[in-house]
Amino acid sequence: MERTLNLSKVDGVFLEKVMSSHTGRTVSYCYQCGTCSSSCPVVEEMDIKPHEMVEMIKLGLTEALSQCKAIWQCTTCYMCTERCPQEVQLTTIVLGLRDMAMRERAVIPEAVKESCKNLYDTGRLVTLSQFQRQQREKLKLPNVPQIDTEPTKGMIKNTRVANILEVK
Amino acid sequence: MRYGYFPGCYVLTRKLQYDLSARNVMKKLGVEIAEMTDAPCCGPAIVKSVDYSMAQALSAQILAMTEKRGLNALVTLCPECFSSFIKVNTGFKEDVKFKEEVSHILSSTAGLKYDGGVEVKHLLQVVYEDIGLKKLSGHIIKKFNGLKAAVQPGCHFVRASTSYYADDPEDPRMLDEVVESLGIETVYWPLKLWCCGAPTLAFDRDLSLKLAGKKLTSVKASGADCIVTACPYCHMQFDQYQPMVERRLDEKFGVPTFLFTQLLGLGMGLSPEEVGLNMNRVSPNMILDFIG
Repeated sequence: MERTLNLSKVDGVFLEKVMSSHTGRTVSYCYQCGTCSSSCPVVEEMDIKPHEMVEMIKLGLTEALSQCKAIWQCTTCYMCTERCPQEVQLTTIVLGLRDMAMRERAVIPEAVKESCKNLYDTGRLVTLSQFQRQQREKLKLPNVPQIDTEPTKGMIKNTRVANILEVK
Repeated sequence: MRYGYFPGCYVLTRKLQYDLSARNVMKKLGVEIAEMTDAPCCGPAIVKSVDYSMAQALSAQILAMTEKRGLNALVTLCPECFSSFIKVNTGFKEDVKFKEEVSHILSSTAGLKYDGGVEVKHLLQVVYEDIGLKKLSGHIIKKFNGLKAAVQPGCHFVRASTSYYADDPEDPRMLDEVVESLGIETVYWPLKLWCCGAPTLAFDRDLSLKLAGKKLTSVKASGADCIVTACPYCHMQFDQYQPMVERRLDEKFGVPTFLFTQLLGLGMGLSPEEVGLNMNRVSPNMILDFIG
């Protein structure tokens, strides 16, 4: 498939930022063998393949990366990371690209919003409904205690999660 | 050894048959636990997508709470929680900057400190390593001779970190061996290592169910009668969503999916109710015909 990369939209400082982190730094080891893409269970569906993502990070093509579908299609199965002969921490890097995409585009997937909200309000990502509480009682399973959410709320404060939820 | 018990919020709220069967199996095996169910979320991939360090501080918070309660080991049922904890433990050893960052968040917000000393295990490891297959076989009173199973341990159990391996990442056999101890034959299936698709369900439903469909097709082709997993999300995907996958592909699979603790429990003589068999969506009743 023929593809054109628009090199007029290069983010000059992005690579520097990526290189400052322990995992991000590993992008520089990539020699484009494509093992990641051939190990990926969803590569067929991706608009940007895993090995292309790495090269695009190096080129500073942040806009294209922010807008691609592939970073959200990643199943985070860690197959690419496991098989990479150069130990590029690609799965973790994709998680970082998601963060970047949400910042740049200010578009937050509903599932992320909901998870953040549950986390902030209850301390859990998945919450217990009245029905499930009754089910547990019926099965004689121990009560699920309420979580002291203060430490978690403190942790969330001043982070991206708080920004997403617009809490201070 | 006494373990802090952290089944994970998904198991506590939605996968009650896993919580139930695991508790009953641990009781049978004499695994001593202390409830850690009041600990918060582990900071899984969806939280890591927003803020990686904060997500890992959440995981470290649970480990610090475990330590504070005088426990030096934690057992979980969820591979996602498992890998979150393992990443903290390995990250604390290998990456000074990561340790500093996570420790700072932890101490400044929750007033907690963690040194990296809590041993984290998935229940499968407790069964395989602490109890051992030999001792386990002494507890098995019923066998499922003639049953064929496709085994799926869960990606985040097998590939929790590139510097810690619970099992062989290219040929995981731990769950297979535990399942085989019940007289079940485990089959070779080409897509065993693939993700079930659950993590993308919230972002790309079509893709997620397509992946589940490919996996189920592979299970069918391998001649397996059922799937056995150690992951609550794989169970969700193969059990709860199987009818939906069937409708999309216009193909009938009818493959029951079991949590490994459900089969272990039945093998140890627990009743179907005690392992929450009736909570599985795809009819699991064929399993009862196999119990000799």
